[in-house]
Amino acid sequence: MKARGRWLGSLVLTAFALFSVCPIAWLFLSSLKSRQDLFSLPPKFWFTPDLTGYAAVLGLGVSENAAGSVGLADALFNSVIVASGGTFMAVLLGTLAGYAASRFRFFGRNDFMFFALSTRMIPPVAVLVFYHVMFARIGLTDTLLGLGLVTTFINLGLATWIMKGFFDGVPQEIESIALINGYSRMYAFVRLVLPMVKGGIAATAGFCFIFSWNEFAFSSILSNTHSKTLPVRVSSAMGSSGIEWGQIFAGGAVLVIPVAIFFYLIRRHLLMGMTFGVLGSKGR
Amino acid sequence: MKKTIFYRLSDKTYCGVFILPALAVLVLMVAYPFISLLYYSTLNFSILRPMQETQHIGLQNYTELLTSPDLWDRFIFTGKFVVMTVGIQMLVGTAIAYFLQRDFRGRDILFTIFMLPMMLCPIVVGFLWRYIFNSEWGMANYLLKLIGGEKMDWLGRSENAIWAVVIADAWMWTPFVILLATAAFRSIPNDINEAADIDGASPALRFFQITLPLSAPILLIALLLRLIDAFKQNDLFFAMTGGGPGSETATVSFMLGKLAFGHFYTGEASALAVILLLIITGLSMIFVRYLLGISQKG
Amino acid sequence: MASIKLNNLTMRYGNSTAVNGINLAIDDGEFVVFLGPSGCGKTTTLRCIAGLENPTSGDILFDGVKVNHLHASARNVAMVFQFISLYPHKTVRKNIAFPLRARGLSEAQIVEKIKWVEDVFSLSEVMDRYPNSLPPGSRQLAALARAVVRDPKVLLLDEPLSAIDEQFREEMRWELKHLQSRLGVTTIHVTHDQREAMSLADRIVLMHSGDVVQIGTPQALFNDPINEFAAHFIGSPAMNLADVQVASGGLMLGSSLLPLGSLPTPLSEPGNLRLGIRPNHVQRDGKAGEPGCVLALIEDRYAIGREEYFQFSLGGQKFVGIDKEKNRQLAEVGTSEMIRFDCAEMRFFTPDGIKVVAP
Repeated sequence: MKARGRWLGSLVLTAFALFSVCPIAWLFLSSLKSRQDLFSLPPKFWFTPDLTGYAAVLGLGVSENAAGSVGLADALFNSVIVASGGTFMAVLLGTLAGYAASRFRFFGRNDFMFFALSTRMIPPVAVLVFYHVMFARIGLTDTLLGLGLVTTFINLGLATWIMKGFFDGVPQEIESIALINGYSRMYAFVRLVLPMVKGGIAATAGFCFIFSWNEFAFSSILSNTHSKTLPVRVSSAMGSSGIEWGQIFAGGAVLVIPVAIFFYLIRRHLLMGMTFGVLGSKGR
Repeated sequence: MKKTIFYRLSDKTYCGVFILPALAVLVLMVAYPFISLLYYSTLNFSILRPMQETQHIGLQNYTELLTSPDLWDRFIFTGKFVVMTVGIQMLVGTAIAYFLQRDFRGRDILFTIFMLPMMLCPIVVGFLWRYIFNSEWGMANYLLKLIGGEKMDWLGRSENAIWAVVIADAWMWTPFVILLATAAFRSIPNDINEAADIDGASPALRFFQITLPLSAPILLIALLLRLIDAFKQNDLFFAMTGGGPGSETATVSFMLGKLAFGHFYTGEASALAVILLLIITGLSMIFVRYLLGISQKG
Repeated sequence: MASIKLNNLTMRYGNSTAVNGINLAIDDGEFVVFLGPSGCGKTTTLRCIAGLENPTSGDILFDGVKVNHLHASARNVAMVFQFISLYPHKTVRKNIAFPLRARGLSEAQIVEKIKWVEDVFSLSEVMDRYPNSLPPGSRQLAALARAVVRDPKVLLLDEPLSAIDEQFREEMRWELKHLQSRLGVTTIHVTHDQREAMSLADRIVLMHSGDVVQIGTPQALFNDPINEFAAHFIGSPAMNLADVQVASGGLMLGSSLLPLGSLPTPLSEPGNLRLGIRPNHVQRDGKAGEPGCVLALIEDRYAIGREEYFQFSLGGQKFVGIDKEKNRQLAEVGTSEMIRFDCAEMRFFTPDGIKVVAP
């Protein structure tokens, strides 16, 4: 009775795994191809590796045009700063707001939560122009601070929602006991409740980081030379003289590795974080 | 115990202080653009010609947009795209999560593999699939020929192109649904699963009668988030079809991009943005109301 | 309905043994209670019988047929859990119908069976409500209804009454006992509450640390505990237990002598023993010189419910007694009285707790 179900399950899972992996493998493979090899019929699986794509992305070697004016080290640095900083702020503010939304019944609480969610509904294209104008007036264009602010904003809604969910799963008795014993709420929050939502913080940080790292729309418009992040740099391979495929693929490969590692480290926390508090954080 | 200032603060103060930073950021970053959006949607302003006389044309932008048959074509196309890609994501994602319920060796590794597509930079994904769907040198046609099919023009014809982008989008975002569905299934108390077993339910019956209904709230959130993102999808269209041929594969969001950064018709773009926002927000509100209804009952 | 037999059932998790070679035979229609402190293996055994866990070794037989290899859904057992038993998203009616649908019964049959349990369990008013809107007592009744609606071979109950308020628990016990004898289904009930076991069971299986300590009727366990653990665990308030030395003429507790008329056989040799006697066999109507009577200082007096307790020490060891007659004046703390131990109800154990053959 069970054997037949197992067979079907294995088949489906294997098929989907192949479907997920093969394009990525193809990406890595293609990043090593020279232009001719890329556009050959039939597609080549064996070839001599051509590293010009990586060279250009990594800022070594000569090709001026598509590599853009920002070296990899700079772009990488920018990406790390913006993504980490933005994630940090989003998680920090989101945790505080999520805690308040979970514990205090303040006026407009549900509306606040919906508002937080709605910030995610805005198509970046719609507001890019205005952000550009706004930043220009304040002098934040092409700054890491500006990009960091935008990153924080993009992720804040999600962070608040996830953290509220986790706080909802921590019984209020814990703070009540501490308060009765004479501790301040801040003490209860920092020393008692926060450690219990460590998983949630990891999950939130994970998501925010992934979204920030790959963020393109805002970064491209709001940065120029100094604060260009990796995705923008990679996309600049779409130069005026056609598409530098090798560079794009190489760039994609380089981009994905930190994220993959990061994800593998926090995978268990991610699963817990996805319940969004609708069912609380029970179960395994 | 040291009596620090933290003791003297009332709960109200704590609440305010905790909420304020987040609220401030959100309002700040939303207020200016949103108000600008509304304001500019009533002008025929263009950022390219700031010096030229801008007229207040009231709702003219809106009427022009809403009566343009081309825009309605775009809406229909967007609708088709959203339904197709989100439908596939939800069905495949839930099915995969179903098969992942049983613990087996290497399940963790397999799960990480499933998550990979979601972690790539969207632009790169767009170019990757553009390469795959290239009619001359792409893997898609190569595989098609291997199994005896005919080479297809994937990206040049809109009826094929929509499928190409749907495949790329679903490929990238189904992991998101798998993640949420897996979390939902795991959060069902074990007692209930055991009770179903003892009651004699087959795995299929248990899935449809117990697992799915109890996971409904989270799955609906997944659905909502995927719908919102599908409406906003731009990067893939940008990389794969450029909205073409002509503007046949342009979604509303893509049109918005073209208006704002192609033609720089800021006024019109703002109006379109407002319309799009209203649709997305409206849908979300319906969802959230319905979701709250489901949570109460459970 | 089925008889159950466990042959050498063993369950090991890594290095620890949860169930240690249990042998047990349960008759068809019997109400058996697995009783014991947390961690004694009673729930694990129950789950093995249910098919939710696979024993490390040993056999489980229903009506003489081995069922080890059968999955839970194929064993035709029914189970009621402690907390969550009902599907929260279905009404009571749909909950009860679920196992019937799972087995493919026809619509007509389902309706008929639902009507039957509705009457037996008096659930008419709650049939179309959701579990969360019901008080725990009704919830468990509904869970029971769902369990028995499909005529299971065995009914397994895992501490079903633990989550119910004290005041309703007694009522539920009556209901449970009554229903079980009416339906006649073989039932195994797991609990750590010895009062519950005493009032419900045809037979009790007392367990401790994975072993079966004693199997017997409630009376047998109460009157004739096989060792000190059983003596102490059963009966509320707990049995008095003290170290005594056998001396000529009686028992020595410290410097006090408790005279016994005729020495029971196990006491023929001098030595150290443990004396066990239940508080209701310790009275304040002793007469000096008579067997079992000794003078003692009342140290404490309290009442629980309608019963008056008094506490005293002999040889430094505390004893508790209960006044039988209500007319007697209450004991006064600080006065000495003649205490009488009912010699016929004395039980003796070796210093390591095993019962000495009773007189």
